[in-house]
Amino acid sequence: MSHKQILIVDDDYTVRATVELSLEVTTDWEILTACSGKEGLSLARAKPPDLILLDVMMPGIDGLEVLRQLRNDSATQAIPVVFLTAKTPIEKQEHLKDLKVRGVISKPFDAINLGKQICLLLNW
Amino acid sequence: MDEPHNSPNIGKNDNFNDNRFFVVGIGASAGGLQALEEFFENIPQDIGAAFVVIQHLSPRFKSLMQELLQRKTSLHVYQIQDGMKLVPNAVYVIPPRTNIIVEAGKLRSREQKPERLNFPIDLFFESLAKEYRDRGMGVLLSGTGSDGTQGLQAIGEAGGLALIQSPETAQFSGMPANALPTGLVDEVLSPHDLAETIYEIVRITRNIPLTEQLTENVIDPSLLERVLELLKDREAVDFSQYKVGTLSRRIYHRCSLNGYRSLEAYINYLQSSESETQLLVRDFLIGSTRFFRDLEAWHFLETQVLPSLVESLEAQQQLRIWVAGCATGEEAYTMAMLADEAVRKSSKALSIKIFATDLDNFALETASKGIYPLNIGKDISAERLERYFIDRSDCYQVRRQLREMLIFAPHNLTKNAGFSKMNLVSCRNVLIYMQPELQQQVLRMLHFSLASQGVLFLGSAEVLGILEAEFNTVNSKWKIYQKKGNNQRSLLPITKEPLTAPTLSPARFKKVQPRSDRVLGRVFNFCFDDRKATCFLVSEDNKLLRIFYDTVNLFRLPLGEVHLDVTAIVPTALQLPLSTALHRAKREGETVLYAGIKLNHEQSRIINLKVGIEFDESHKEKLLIVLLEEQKTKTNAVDERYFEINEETVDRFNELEYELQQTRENLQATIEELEGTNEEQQATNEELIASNEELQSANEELHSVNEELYTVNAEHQSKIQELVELNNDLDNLLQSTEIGVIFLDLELNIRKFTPAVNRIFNVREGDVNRPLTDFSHNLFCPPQQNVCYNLLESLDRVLTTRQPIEQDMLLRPTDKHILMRVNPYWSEQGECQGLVLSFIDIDEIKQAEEKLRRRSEQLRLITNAIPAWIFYVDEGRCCRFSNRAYQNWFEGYSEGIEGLNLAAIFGNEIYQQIQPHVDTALAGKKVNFDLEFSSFNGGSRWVNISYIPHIQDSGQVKGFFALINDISDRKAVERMKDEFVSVVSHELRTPLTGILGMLQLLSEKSIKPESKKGEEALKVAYESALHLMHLVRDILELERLESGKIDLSKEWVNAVHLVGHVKDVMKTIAQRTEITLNISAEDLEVYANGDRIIQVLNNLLSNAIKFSEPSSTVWLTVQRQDDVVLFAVKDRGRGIPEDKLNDIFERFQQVDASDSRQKGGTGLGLAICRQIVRQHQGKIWAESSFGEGSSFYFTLPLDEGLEDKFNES
Repeated sequence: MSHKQILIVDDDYTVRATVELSLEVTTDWEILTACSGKEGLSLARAKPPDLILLDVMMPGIDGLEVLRQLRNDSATQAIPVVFLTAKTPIEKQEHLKDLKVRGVISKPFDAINLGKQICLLLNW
Repeated sequence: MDEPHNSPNIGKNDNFNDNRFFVVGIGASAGGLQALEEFFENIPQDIGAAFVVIQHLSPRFKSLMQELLQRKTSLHVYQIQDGMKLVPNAVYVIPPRTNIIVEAGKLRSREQKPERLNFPIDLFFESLAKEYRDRGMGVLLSGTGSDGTQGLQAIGEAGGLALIQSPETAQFSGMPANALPTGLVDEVLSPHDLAETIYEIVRITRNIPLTEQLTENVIDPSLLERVLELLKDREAVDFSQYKVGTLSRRIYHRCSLNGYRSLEAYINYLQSSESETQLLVRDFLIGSTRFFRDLEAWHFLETQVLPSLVESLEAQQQLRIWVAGCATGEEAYTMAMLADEAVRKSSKALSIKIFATDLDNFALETASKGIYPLNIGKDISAERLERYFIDRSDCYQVRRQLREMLIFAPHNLTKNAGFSKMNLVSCRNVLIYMQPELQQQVLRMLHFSLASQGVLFLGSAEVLGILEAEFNTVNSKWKIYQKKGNNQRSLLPITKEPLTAPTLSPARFKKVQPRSDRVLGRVFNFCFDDRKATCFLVSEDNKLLRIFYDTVNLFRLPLGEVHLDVTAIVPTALQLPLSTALHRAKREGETVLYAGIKLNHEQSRIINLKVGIEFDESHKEKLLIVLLEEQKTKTNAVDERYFEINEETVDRFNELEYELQQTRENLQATIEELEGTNEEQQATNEELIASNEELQSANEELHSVNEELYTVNAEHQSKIQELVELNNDLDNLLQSTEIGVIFLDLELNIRKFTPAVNRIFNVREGDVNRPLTDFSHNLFCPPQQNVCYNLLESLDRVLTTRQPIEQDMLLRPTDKHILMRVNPYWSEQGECQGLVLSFIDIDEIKQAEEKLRRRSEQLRLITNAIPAWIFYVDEGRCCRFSNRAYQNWFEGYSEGIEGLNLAAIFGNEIYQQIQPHVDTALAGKKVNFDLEFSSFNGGSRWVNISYIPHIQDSGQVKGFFALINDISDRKAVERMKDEFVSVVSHELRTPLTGILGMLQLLSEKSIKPESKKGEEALKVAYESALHLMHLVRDILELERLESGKIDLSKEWVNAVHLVGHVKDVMKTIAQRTEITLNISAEDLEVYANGDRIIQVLNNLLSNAIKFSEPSSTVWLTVQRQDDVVLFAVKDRGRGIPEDKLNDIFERFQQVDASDSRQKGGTGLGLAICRQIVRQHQGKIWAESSFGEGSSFYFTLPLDEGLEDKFNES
């Protein structure tokens, strides 16, 4: 597990804090956080991370819209995205394929194994 | 003895195979129905023959013959159509106005030409003869006229059977009687026997083994010989020289006709039956001729031969013609007509003598009568008919002038000697029956008979053979030859029998051989020796015929014109005795002897007179032999004395003689008078004969009229029968329907009525012809009907308008419903001749109708009460019933869509969506589905649709019921719930993520609790748990508020107090963020739940503080405004975008969530506030300009008393 940069986009502080802490403890990845879609986009554009963990249901620009904008921008279109969602049922798989989502992690997640789960999804 | 000219070939062409069936042609005139019925009743079903009925039908009427006959026979009866194929066991009936012929096994029909005389029976029979030959049968049944006679002849000639109904059994015997004399009829029987005979013949012919049938057309020579021997012995006719084929055919014909299966048996019968041998001979000599047969040949004769013959003769000479084999005389008369015309044209004074001979006495009899059926008119031109024939209305008779030219005599060409010095000999179609040697012999005889340059006329199939050299050919086609020179060839040495005495010849036939005179003279000389005698022969009219011996020498021929009257040429004294004696002899038929007649005074000769009478062989003519013998004077001494007369005596004698003379003159006068009278009487007689003839023809006419009447009557009878049946049927129908019917004439008199009318009118049988207006009736108009005529009005109306009226009436006293119909009575010509009233009891129908109407009403009421749209659709996809929901939901009227198609009701777009379901329902399956209707009154709505098929007991689907519920509200609730659950789940999972994640990290020792990270983790977990708790609390509270589970008991609270509570709570929070609270309230009493209002105010204030920048101010004011109390909370925060202003009161709606968690809201606060305010009948809203702060307001009603009262009530 080489040095990676992960961007977490979630409107909820609790979630951001939990993910951040979980990954800090279990990996050596650099963690960035954004508390809204808008912030997430600007961060991603400024410096494309190796992975974006993206919440789906957010006020304002929601997760799907963020993803769509990422894919439409040549600078960000290649960034792997994993959805982090509390929504049940999970969005349609086909829809996700179109937008090249690498995987979905549902809340609440396994804090100890979150890093391993991400590695599995991205073949790191 | 005549035959069609193709007859020599008959034998060779006949193919007798088993498949050929008999075809029976039946001729009858219109009146022959009875005979036909009797005939067919006796024909069995399996007869194996086909029957063709040719009738004289009236051209004006449709023929019922097919139906009439079908009743009498089990054979199938067809009316003939052109091209119909003949099959056995069937009857074919001629349709009117057609002629039928048979051609190649098929029946052909031809239009009859009404302007011409038609002989349909002849026409058919002739075609039948041609087509079926020996398998054809002709039957002539009852009828008038002569049609059929020629046809039967043709059938007879062709070897078929000719049968007729016996005239005594026939109602109209004209047709059978006419055919009878032709000599061709095989059997004369009653229709019943005819049927049986035909059946027998058909059966036998079918059973005769093929070998026995005429496969070779020749029967066993030994059998033939037996037959011919028999005929030779019995009938003295030698047929041994006739052609075997012809003879065989005729013998078989007779054999089958008599029902014998083998020839052997027939020959035995022949031996025992004399009549049968005669019939067989007649069959052998079968003949049928026509006038001008082979017209071309006759024409040639007329134009080329006869004129030159006439030319060659000197005036006063005789044109001598011999017609050998004249049969029934047609050819002979034809010849006579042509000869007469030729002589007339030449204007030479020539007499014509035609000898017509035949072997068949029977045929000759017919010929000499000269009476022929009317249909000879086809063969003879009208001009000739007029000149040579007398029209006897049912027949033609040859005129005397023509008849007198002919001598008919029996003559056997093979045995008798020929006539001599003939200018023309016609011997047609006779030789063909003879074998070649016999032919030559006959030809030699004919050659001998011909005068120099005489013409021989043969049948077209006959040849001269070796005699050809003796003739010049005049016409090779029609076999007309002329004799060369005057070469009398010697006859062959065969015995020639002398010709028998003429029988019917009107001219006297003298056969005296001059040679015998001399011998006779010698005989007399020897007898009388020296006695003086005169012997002579006198005819009936006293003419001196012959003098045998004359030594008395008495004849004195007076001067002047020569009379051969013997009484005139004998001396005066002998005249009286002679004439008296002749007279007596003739009268008494005995020999008369007068002796001692004194001849005269001076010579004193005494004469004995003897008159003997002789009859010639035919007993037709009396011949008288007169013997005059002179008494010798010596030997008559006594007589001398006796005859000595004195003067006185002489005087006395003279006196007496004078007196006698006077008397005689008187007698003469008397005789003359008598003769005159006689002549008168004869004239009268002739007149009588003429009138008789007229009467006869009138009678004939009456007969035919009678026959027609009979036919018409028969038709009428069957029509009447039909009408009676029809009438009966109608009566029964009317009776069974119990419909009252009255027929009225134009004056409204009753013509006819049915018993069912009695309920309305009191009419009885005797009331027919009384006006209906005389009767009282029990009908009145039902009160609720708009237009209703009473009975008489409606009658008048129909009479004037000619339009039928139909209306309901009530019947007193029971108030039963009666349907009254008044129709005009139309005659066949379309004239209105009266009225027909019918009264139908519709009370039950009416009651049922009423019941149905009530049921329907009930149904409608019930279904209208159901808050769903219910309708019924029939199998044609049309709406048959709809409750009121339709008109509530859509524009339109419920009843208005009944009868409309589904597509029309719903419009195409929706119809296409429901169509598969409709199909399923109509297939008998129940359907349930949801659908969005866009055409609802209030916009788009969701509905649930159930189709319940209407299946009959038989399993047939008659339609379906549709039940449509409006489920829009339910749908909305469902959707909201789904959304809510989804949101709540999300909201709950988020804090859980924090709690679980942090606790996991801590418990797995990834983070030490005492480390800084550990503290942070614990803090996050704690906050998350707290949030979770708040969330659960708010959700539950909101739920309980919404469902009304929280008791909002109200009381009077002071607004200042309320605000004070809030201020205490908020003060610490405000201080924490250095917010200034500016709170003011009017002193107002509010009827409310104080805790809840405080909760609302807390919520609003904490929000305002939460979203305000530090050191800013938050205002809370309470003031009265009109009839409400207005609470307002204002801040100077960043404000709310305008588009979110309405949403913020919904659950989990936060303006910008980027920091919501930081502020710690659950997203349900405002929703709870709104719910609380609403439960106080207040309003809550927010105003804001983005970036300049927000204002939240809510009102509570001030008119507490009213509200309270309202609540209490």
